[in-house]
Amino acid sequence: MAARNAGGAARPGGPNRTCQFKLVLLGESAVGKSSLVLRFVKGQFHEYQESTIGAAFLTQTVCLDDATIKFEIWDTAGQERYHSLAPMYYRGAQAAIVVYDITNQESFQKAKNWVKELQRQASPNIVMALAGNKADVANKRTVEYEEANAYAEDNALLFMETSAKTSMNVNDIFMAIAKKLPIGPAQGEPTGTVDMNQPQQQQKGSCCK
Amino acid sequence: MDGAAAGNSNVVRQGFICPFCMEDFGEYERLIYHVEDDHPEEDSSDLAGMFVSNVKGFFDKAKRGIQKLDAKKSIAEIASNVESEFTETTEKLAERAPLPRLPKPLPPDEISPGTIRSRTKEFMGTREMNINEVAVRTNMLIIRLDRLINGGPKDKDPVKRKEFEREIVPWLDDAEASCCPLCAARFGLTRRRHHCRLCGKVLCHNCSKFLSFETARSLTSSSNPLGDTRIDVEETPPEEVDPGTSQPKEGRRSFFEFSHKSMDKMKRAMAGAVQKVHSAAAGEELIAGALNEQEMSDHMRVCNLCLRDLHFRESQMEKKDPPSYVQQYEFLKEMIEEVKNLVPTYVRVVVSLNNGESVYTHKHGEDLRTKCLEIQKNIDVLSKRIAEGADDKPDSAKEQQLRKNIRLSAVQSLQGLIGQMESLPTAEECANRIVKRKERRVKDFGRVNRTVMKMSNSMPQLMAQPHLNSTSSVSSLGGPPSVDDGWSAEDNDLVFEPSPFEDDTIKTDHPLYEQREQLRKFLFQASSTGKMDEMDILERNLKEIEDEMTRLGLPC
Repeated sequence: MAARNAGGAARPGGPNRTCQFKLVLLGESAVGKSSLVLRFVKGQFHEYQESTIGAAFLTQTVCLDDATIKFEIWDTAGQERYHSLAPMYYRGAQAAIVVYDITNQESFQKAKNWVKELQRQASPNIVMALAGNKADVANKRTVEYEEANAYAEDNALLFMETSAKTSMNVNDIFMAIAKKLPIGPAQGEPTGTVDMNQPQQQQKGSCCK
Repeated sequence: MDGAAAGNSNVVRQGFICPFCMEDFGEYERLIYHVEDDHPEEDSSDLAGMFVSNVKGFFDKAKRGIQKLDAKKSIAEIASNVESEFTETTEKLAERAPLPRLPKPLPPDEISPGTIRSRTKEFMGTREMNINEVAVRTNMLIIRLDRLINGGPKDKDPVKRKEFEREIVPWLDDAEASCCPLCAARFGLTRRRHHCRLCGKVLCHNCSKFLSFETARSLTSSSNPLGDTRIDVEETPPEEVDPGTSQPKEGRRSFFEFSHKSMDKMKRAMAGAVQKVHSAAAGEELIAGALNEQEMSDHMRVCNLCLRDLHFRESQMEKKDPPSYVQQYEFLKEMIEEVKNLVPTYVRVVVSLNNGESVYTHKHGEDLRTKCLEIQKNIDVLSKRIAEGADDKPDSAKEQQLRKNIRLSAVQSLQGLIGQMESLPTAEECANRIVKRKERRVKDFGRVNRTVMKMSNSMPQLMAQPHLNSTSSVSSLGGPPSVDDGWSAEDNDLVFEPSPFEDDTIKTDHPLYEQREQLRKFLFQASSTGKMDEMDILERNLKEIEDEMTRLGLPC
C-alpha cells in the first residue's frame, strides 16, 4: 500500500510544484455527491441529476499559492448494491469527502458508517472531509449543524455544510482538503524514489486507457 | 481563498471503471473479478492467513476449555463464554489490522441486470429506412399509375400509347437485359423482351402480370380508396407464348381474378378463370368479346414486384378502414356463436322438463326459448341487411356475391338451430309429468327397499352396510329398475318410513332445501349464458341433493 500512496504524492513540476491526489466521494445515494463534483469541476448544476452507475471519474486542477494540485475525483455510486465497489475506489485515496444530506437523518448515519469504514480500511493518513449537502433547503433540515460539527471534531474531520445548487462552500471544501494534503518532498518521500516509480506508473495508466 | 480552480477536464467518465488501470468493464462482476485478479491488495493474503490462524487458535482454546470444564458448569455458561471470547477476538483482529474487505457478490435479490444497451433506436432507424423505401416506392408507383391511366392519347393506337408510356416511365434498354430477371430465361426470337409499365424493367412474357385499368383506377382514386377493392389480374397461361404480343393482343389472356377476402372466393374465381382459359383456346373473337364485356378493355403490363407493392398498399388501406359490412359480419358471427351455445342448453332443459324432473321450472324454459328466438330474429334481420348491401354506392358483382353468401350461411345455420329446438311442453304438462315422476320414484323406492331387505335376509354379510347399499342404488336410479331382479312392478306398498308426502310442513326449513334453491338459481344462471359444462356439474349436484333428501324422507 505504501507504494501506491507514493503514486499520488508530490511531484516536482518546476518552481511551482504540481501534485496529483486521488479523492473519493462517499455517501448514501441521492445526497448530492455527483452534483457536488459537477459543481466543483464544471460549475454546473442539474436539478435532475441521474444516479451514478458504478463510479464517475473527473479531474480538476486547483492552484494554491505554492503548488498546483490535480484532483483525480472518484465519484462513487451511492446505491447500496454498489457498496462493495467502494473499497477499490478509496483504496490508495489521499482524500475522501463523505457526503450526507442535511434534510435526511438516515444519510447522516450512513455517513458515520462510511467514516468508520474509512478509518478502518482506508490508508491511515487519508484526509477526510464531511459535507452536509443541500444547505439551500435548510428549512427542511433534520441534521443540526452543531451535531454534525461535534461529530466531525471528535473524528478529526474537515466539516462544512455545502450546497451544490447555490455552490455554497463547494470550492471551499475542496480547497480546505487541498491545503491539508501533504505537499512537497518534506511530507512525501525523497524525490529520487518517486522519480524511479513515476514513469512506470504513468505508463501503466496510459496503456490501458 | 488563496487559490482558484484552474483547468479542468471536460470528460466525465462514468461506469464500472477500474480505478487502477482506468479501464471500463461495463458490468459489476467483471470489474470485481478484474480488480481481484489484477490489482489484489498487497497484504490481503497475510491478513487472511492471520485471520485463519486466529480462528483456529480460538477453536483450540475453546476445545481445551470444554475438556477442562467440570460437569457442574452449565452449557449456557460455556455458550456465553465462547461468544464473548469470539467477539473479543474479532474485535481485536479488526483493531490490529483491518479485515480484507473483499467485495462480496451481490445478494440474489439485488443482482443488477448488468449494463443494458438499448438497440431499439438502431433497429428503428434501420426499419424506418426500409419502411420509407417501400412507402416511397409505392407512392411512386401510384403516381405513375395515375398518370398512365388518366393521361395519354385518346385513340387506341398502340404505338402512340407506347410512346406515352415511355414518356412517363423510362424503359430499361433492351440491350441491358440478356435474360429475364425473374425467371432467368434467355431472351431471343421466341422469348421477347417486355417492359413493366410501372418500373420500366425488362421481363419476359411469362413473368408478366396484367393490371386492369379499372383496378388501377380504384387503386389510385384517393377520394374513395375503398370504392372497389378488387384487383383483377390477368395471368399469362404458360402454354401461350406469343412472341409478337403487343398491347391490344393482351386481351387473349384469361382472367385470373383474386381477392384477399376469402379462400372460397378465390376458389370460385379460379374456377371461372379455368373456364375462360378454355374459351380462350376456342378462338380470338370470343376473347375479344369477353374483353369488351369488361368496361375497361385496356390492361397494363406490370411486373410481380410492382404488383406486390400495390397489393400490399391496398390490403393496408383495407385493414385501416374495413368496409361496413365486415363489421356487421363480425357482429353476426358473434350472435350466431351465442345462439349456438344457447340452443343445446334449451334442448337440455326441454328434455329435463319432458322427463318430469323438477330441476328446471317451466318459466325457465320459456325464458330461454324467447331469448333464443330473439337472437335468431336479430341474426335474420342483420343478415338480410348485409345481403341487401349498402345503398350509397353500387356494389361490384363480387361484393354482392359475398353479401349473398353471408346471408346464405346465416340462414343455413338458423335453419339448423331451429330444427334442433323442440317445442316446449306447456305448464300443465310439466306439472303432470312432475307428479307422475314422483309417483314412479316413490314406487321405485319401495321396491328397492324391499329388495335390500330381502337381500339382507338372504345374505347377512350385506347387512354390514345396508344404508350405503340403499343410497347407492337409489342414486343410480334414473328410471324404473330392470325387472331382472325378479320383482314385478306390482309391489306398490311403501315400506320405508317416513313417507315423503306425510310431513311436508314439518321439515321445510331443512338446510337441504336452501341448498337446492341455491343450486337451482346457479343452474338458471348457467343455462341462460349457455355454459353446458357448468350445467352438467350443477345438475349432478342437484340430483345428489334430491337423492339425499329422498333418503332422509324429505319431500322434494
